Parts: sequence; structure tokens; C-alpha cells
Amino acid sequence: MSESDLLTRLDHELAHLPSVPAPTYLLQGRRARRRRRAAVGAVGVAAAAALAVSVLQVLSPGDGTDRSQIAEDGTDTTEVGRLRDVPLSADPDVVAPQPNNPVEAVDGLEGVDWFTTDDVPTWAQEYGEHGPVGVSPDGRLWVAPDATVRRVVVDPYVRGEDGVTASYAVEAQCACVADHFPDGLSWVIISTDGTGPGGGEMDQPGRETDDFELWVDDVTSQLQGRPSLAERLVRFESRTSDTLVPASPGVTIVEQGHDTGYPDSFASRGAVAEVTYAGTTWYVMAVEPPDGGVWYDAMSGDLADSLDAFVEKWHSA
Amino acid sequence: MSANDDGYVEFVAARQAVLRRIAYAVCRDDARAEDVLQEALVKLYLAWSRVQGTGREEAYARRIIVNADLDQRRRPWHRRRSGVPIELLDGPAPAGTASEDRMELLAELRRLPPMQRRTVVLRYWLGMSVEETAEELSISTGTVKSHASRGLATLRERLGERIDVG
Repeated sequence: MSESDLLTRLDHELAHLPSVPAPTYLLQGRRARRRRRAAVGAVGVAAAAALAVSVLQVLSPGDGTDRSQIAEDGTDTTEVGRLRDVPLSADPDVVAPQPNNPVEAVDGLEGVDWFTTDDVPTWAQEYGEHGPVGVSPDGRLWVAPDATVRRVVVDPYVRGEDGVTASYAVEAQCACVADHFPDGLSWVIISTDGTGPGGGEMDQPGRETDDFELWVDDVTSQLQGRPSLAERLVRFESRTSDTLVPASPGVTIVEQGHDTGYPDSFASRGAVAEVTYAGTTWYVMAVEPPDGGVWYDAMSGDLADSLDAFVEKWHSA
Repeated sequence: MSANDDGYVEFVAARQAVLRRIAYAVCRDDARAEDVLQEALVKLYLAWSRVQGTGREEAYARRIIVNADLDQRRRPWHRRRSGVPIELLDGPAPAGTASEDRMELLAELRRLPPMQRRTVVLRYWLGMSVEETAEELSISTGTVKSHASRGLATLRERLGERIDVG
């Protein structure tokens, strides 16, 4: 091969990428803004309830910083901190406090409006690959010819909210998924706004929990203004602390540490913890990047046998 | 649409191709690149009232992109599909440019450790100075030099040839 030029070669190799109509990103941005406003609204409600223990600074219009949501005593009063006051049930299967999201899975495809095809439709492919299921613009569930559906939650997202016209959460087995899905088993949540096949998320069963309905609740939590599973387990003690405390009654922190494995340039503060709730163990990672935006994520306790092993597994996967 | 939204749409229409190419270069795979681009453009929209007209719109989004992939390990097994309707993509990529056919330099670039990949892209592809790259990635200039040098050496070794970086 002749002498080559990195700049020219990369230009050439990346010359024919797809493009997306700009209004599509505008729609995504508007959705994100609505979610943010909904979260701020929830802060207001929670602030009234918490008035006796903390005094909030006045929210300045146009002030995009978290400063406006910080209590004088330093308690974490961000939207996440407030929303996680939603109590956990003693039954880990009861996961969604909102009545419009009962998260009730049906076995197989019982009562589901679905169809399959001999060949994989173009709209169900991405870079020549396909997942076990898809959703057609008319809201029907498409099942790949090589997939077997085990369980389905119909309408995990609320119809009409954020433009969603149909959605499904599916536990399916398919050789079409990547090798790191054991036995080809995956959890998928997909939705459409009625104009196309839409998008969604795919996860490995057991990564965070082996409870399908709990997973569905977790992946829909942000859009529906509820705390995620990890956010219900722990939270930072205050806006500056790197100590984690239980976020819900019944959660016990067995052990915690501060070695998240992330460099300082990525995490201005962070903590990891082993926690238990209702007899189940999770490992939790909590990180605040330098530009703000604390995030929490959880991993099933079955996947590691110590905090150090959890951190190692987290970064090696 | 409001004037703000008009400006945002105009910017995205004009610059998404550039930003997408950066995302594809610094991310480990195409799907992740689409996710990162979408994340950057959503964050840009949320910050649009502050950013528009400053001349920093593209830099704002680019910085999110080149730093976002560090976050990929946040959800180790998580595979997020693009929220963009597939049919809205401008048709299939021309023959010979599908991901499986994409040529070896990009493939080798993606095999580099994340920070080496970034510094190579920023320094040698986007033509940033050491100082600009350091600021973009919030690392020291010495770290930029060492990562970029190691990354380039690895590419040369794997591709079995000299790569002229101009």
C-alpha cells in the first residue's frame, strides 16, 4: 500500500455517512426540555413539603445552574434528590407509582397486536443488522422471523406523551443479537411516534436486575419523571459530599468506597456502594462529571463478589 | 417555530455532517456515534439560548462529542439504538461504505484506547494544536503529546506503513 495521508484517508472513509433532517433533532431537544421542566416542577412540589428542614434559594428565571435548587444546609435538593422520595414498595415487583404505568407483562404475545415477515424489512434494519423486534409506524409489534418472544409489556410509555403513539417492552430470544447476550436473550423497549419505526433501547437481562418488570420501570423512569432504580437505592448526602446514603426506606448500604475507576477529569466526585433492599443486593456507581449532572447506575449483586470486583467489571466490560 | 428554533434547525442542517464525522471518528462504533451525536445536539438545543450567536455553537457540540464516549462504560452492556427513525436517514449509504466495508484506517483508529483515539483525531485530523486539544479534552499538554504519539505509532505499526500527518 502506498504512503497515505491520515487526514485524506479519514476524509475519504467518512465521506458517505447518512444524514438526518434537522427538525428530528429539534424534536428530541424539545422532549428533553419538557422532561427538564417536568423535573423542575416536581422539585417545587417537594420543596413545599421539605420547607421545615431546608430553605431553598429563589429560582432565578434563566438560571441554568443547579445552584437554584440547593438548600442552604447543602442537602441534595436537585430534581433527582427530590424525586427519589417516592417510596419503594416492600415488593420489588411493584415498581411504578404512576397508575398509567402498571408495568404488567403478559406471557408470550398473548393479546398483543403483532406480526412477522419472512424477510427482515428494510425499516427494521440498522447497518444491515436487526433486533428481535420492531414497531411499525402504525403501532403494531413486528417480531423478527428468527426471534421468540417470552414476555411483553404493552404501552410502557404513555400514549400521547412526548409524541409516542405506541410502545412495547419485550423479552425475546434471538440469534440476531450480539454475542454478549447469553443465549441470545435480550430486553428491548421500542416506541414510535407514528411517522417511522422509531427507536429504543436494548439491555442484557440480569445486568441491573433479573426482574423484567423492574427493568421496564427503570428505563421509562426518566421520561416519566420518576427516579431510576439506582436513584431509589442511593444518593449523595449533599451537593458537595462524596458519601452515599440510602435514598429510600429499607435500603441498607453494606459497604461504600470512593474508587470509581474514573480519572479526575471525568469525575469531580464519585462513590461506589454495595446495597441491599428486600433481600436483593446491588452495586451502585455514583459520579458527578466536572460539568455537573450527577448520575447513578446500578449493577446486579450477582455479577460481582466485592466492590473492587464490581469496579473492575464495570470498566472491563 | 420560534426564531430560536429556526436558528437551531439552520445550524444543525448546516453542520451536522461535520459533527457526525467527528462522532464516527472518536466513537467505537457507528451506533454509538449516532447516539453521541444526538446527545450533543440535544444538549446544544437546551443551551441554544446561551450559545447561539457566540460563534461557539459548533465547538460546544464538538466538545460534548469528543468527551462523551468516555462515558460509554457507564452502562457496560447497554446498547442504545438511535432514537432517530431509520427511514429519516438519507437512504442507505453508498455501496462500499457500509460499516462492515468501511476501510481499515477508521477500523484501526477505533481499536485505539479512547484517549489515544481522541488525541489523534483532534490533533491530526481536525488540525488542533496541542494546547487546543488539551483544553478540549481537559487534560495536560504533556498527556496530549504522549497519547497522540502512541496512537499514531500504533496506527503506523498496524497499518504497516508510514502515515503522513502533514
